[in-house]
Amino acid sequence: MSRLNRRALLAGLTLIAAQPYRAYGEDQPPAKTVYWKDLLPETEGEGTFIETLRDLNLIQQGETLPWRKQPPVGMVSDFNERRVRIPGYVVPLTLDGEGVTEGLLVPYVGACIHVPPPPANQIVFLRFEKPTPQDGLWDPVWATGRFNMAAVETDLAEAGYVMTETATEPYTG
Amino acid sequence: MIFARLAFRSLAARWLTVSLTILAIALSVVLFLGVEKIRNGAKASFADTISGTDLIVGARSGSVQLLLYSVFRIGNATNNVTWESFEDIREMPGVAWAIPLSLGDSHRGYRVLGTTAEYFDRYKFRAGKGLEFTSGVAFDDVFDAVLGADVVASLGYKLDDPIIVSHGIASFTHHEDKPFRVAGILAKTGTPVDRTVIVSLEGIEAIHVDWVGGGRAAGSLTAEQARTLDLSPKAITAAMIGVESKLRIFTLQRAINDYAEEPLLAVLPGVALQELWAVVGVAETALLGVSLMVVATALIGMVAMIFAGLNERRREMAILRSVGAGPGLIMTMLIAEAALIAAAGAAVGVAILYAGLAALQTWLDATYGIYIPPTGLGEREMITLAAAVAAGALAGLAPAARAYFISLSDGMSVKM
Repeated sequence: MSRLNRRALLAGLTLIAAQPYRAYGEDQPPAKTVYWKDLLPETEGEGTFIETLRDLNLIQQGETLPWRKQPPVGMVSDFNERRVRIPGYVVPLTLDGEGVTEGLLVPYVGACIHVPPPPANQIVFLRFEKPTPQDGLWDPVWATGRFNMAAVETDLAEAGYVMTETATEPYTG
Repeated sequence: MIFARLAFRSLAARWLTVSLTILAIALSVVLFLGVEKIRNGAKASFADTISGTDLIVGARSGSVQLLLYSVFRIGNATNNVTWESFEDIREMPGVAWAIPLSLGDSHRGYRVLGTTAEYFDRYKFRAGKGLEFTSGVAFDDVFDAVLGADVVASLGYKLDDPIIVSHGIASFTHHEDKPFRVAGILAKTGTPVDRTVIVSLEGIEAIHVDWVGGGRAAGSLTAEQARTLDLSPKAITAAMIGVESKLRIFTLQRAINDYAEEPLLAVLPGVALQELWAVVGVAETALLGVSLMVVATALIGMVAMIFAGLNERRREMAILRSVGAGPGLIMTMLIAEAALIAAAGAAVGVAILYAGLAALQTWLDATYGIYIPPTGLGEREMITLAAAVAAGALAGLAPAARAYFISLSDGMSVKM
């Protein structure tokens, strides 16, 4: 090979290395970090309900509330239509071969069974932008996406929170 | 670039030993990539098996066990669910639809599933694909049966053929007095549905209606007599549930788990699958570790081969020195040789992998239900291949350094 070929080879290698970086999130506004207690309304009520029932001896230790009688929960609309990031655990609802496409973001997994499941204002229904492989239930993630109340979205009849265009990244603190 | 040409020519001159080394590296690459492909294919096959079902309900056992026997037809149920409980669940607010499943019979090794006609509309797989019929229709009559694609492919049934169902998963006891008729054949799905014979719940009741205590009673009824009886189901094995609002899925799951009339278990299929992978994950990591060790072994074999040849090549290096090659060029040449062998091994390995995949794909699917799509190499696999070639080049540094010092001390003449 002559010297010209060597130059061409080096030029080719440099071109490969000079790939333009894909700008992640540069076209999106920065996401606001939201914590689970921010999703609870200011009024009290949810926390005291189960204690009141126990004091009145209407339920015993270990008995969960009859689910039909779960009190309606208050929702917070401060974060509607905003890009938000919330830490939590993803419970996969719809899986396909490539990954999770729909899931529920919850503040805890594996809680003891005598406490009811998280109320509707502590669950976020996630719709993923692209199928995301999930390694385990026990790994916390930051979920970033467009936040909204479910009553605003069309196909969910119940009150609740929804996040669309969700992307997750591991939670490191 | 003279060293590249020299390296190539030098390797070609020793083609026998070099091709054996390339084969060793190629096989190790096949092992590593093959393990990755099967692992991902199996995971994807499992995850693609069910879609659109929010909860699976069965008698209280364990979530992985319930998922395995109801969806994947692996393992058995511990108990049944009474029809009253199923109807109660179907009436619960928040339940959009409920499909009963009844297991426990088989046909020549293929499981028989009793269900309602709604199953064919509600069962979805691979992100929303529905079941399609290649011929025939869903059941109309008590004794109609719909066959999955693999059952037809291996047993050769056609429409309107009679089919005798046996009791249990493997058995000598057949329900030959009440044959079913093939009413429909499903298209291939790549899921356990292909290996299932689907009949109506009334059909399952009819074949067991004259059974007493696990065995056939004397004076059994004919099929015509069985038709006239009340064939509404008394118990089912499991049920698939769809909810109206996914935000309420936890409360519905809790309500079913707390159902006071009967011990039941409701699982989210996605969660149960994750639990299954957590159990299997240890074996996967071990398998990955083994295949990486095999790659390392093959590369060490290559280094040994190059080292072994160094002594014989001293005259070759002296000749090169005498025509103007410096010791640095000799060293670069040997590193290039190692890189070339590793790269050729990787390329041959990939070729063997895809050839093997093309040959074995249909057999793997038919026997184990694992469908491995013939996709190209993923990003992770490409990076691993590049790392293997780089490791090969790096491993070649040791004999190259040795050659450098040999050619320095021998100078341009060598007495052999």
